[in-house]
Amino acid sequence: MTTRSKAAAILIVDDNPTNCQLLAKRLSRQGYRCSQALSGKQALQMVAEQAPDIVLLDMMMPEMDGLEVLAVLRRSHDSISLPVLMVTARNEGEDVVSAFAAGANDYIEKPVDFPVLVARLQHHLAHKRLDDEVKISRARLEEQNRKLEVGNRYKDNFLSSMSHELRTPLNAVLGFSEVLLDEMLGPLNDKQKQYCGEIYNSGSYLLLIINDLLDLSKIEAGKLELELQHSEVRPLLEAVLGLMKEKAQRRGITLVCDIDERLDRVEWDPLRVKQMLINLLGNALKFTESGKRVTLSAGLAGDDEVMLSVTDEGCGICSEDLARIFQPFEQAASPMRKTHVEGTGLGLALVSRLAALHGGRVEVESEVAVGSRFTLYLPRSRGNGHAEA
Amino acid sequence: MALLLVVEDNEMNADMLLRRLKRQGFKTAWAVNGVHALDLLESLRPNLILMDLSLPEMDGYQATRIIKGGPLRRIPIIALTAHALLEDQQKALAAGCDDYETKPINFPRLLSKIRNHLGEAYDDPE
Repeated sequence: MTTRSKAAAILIVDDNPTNCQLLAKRLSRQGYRCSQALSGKQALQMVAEQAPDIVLLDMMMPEMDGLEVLAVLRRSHDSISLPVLMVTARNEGEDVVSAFAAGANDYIEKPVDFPVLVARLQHHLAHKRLDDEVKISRARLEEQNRKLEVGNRYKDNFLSSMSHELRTPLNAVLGFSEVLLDEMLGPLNDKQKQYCGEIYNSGSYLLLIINDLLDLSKIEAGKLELELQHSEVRPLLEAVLGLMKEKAQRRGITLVCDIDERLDRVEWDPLRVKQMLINLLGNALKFTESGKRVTLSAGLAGDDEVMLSVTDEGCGICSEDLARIFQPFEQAASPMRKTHVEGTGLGLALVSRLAALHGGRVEVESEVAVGSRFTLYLPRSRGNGHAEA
Repeated sequence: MALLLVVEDNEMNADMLLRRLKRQGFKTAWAVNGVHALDLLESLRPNLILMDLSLPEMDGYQATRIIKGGPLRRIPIIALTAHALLEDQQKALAAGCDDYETKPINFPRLLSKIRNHLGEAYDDPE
């Protein structure tokens, strides 16, 4: 017997004080804490006040008999949280049946065979103890869950109010630099134009990060919904290339496009597909040196999928980094360690989640010093076995 | 030329938007909150309202609900807000806004939205 079960509290209910005391004495010697009630009424009161672990309840008592006490007890305590052992006379077979029906856990006949009584008490107390432990861990889990939910809500609120607070000053930064660049207030010299351009570009970059953060948190919260529509592949890719052309030129990189003629319409969220491609192309341009090439190609992968890939001739990603580049805030450390590259590490996390929302995926192949290829596989229409977002 | 009422509590942002709209040839008026906008509405009868949603005293949602429940309900209202979530957008449309533009304002996109709504409600006399 463990020390914990020895310390269990037993309430002995018997209208005969001698029986009561005798049992209490013997059980105390076994290490139990015993209290005694001489009537049903007193028993109910003591259960309420002392919360015993188990009740030994005499069946035959004046005024309120054992069955009545049991019925009242079971209104507030189930058989697991408060086990009740009925103590019956040998000729009360029918009463035993009604005792079980009323929620008794067990019974023992008078005169009490003491070792049998102790064995039964131990059995029911062990059961109750297990149940108590389960209850405690469940309560702990529920509490933790509740805290997590609150934390999550807090995070969501924080992100949306941060986004609001950051957008308001950005509105002025972007707007006024545009006003100046438009030369609304008079002509600018070349340096002024260049610096205003820097202000505008930096502001736009900040806005991009804020939007990525917000998108990512929406996806994590299951709140981002795709706006699916059938759209042509070619015009979408050309629009994306148009957006990236200037950056490629500035960096001295040749931007090549290769579209399979068989590709026609695909059911997807054009805005989100553009967002994914801009992210992938932006990375490719960022990690490729002047004089090299970046290729955007589109083709079919089997009958049901389109394949959009961005191939660069950049520094490549080593195999240990490949596993974690799709995690938020991760950037491949090597071989870029020497030169810090701007970026929050949100882009690829966003790409992989947006691909998954489409029922597709993103894959990467890379060789250090040779280059990387990121390939998006997206279903051509939502009819073909996609995972529901 | 069409008259645009800008409802915006941030003076700097209002100043910038008013300048840029004037530059495009629009006539403009400015209200600092919902109450002020409602005060001006009857006498000004603008062709379109650009409504910031977070405003002191009376916010843009409430002002929009009042305007859209009154005799001048046909005036198009474009919500301008730094709240960027889809829920915010839906909340604005539910209040009766005809369109929605997120801050920082993409001015060319805002312009095309303005022209779009004016096209329906207003024949440019020029």
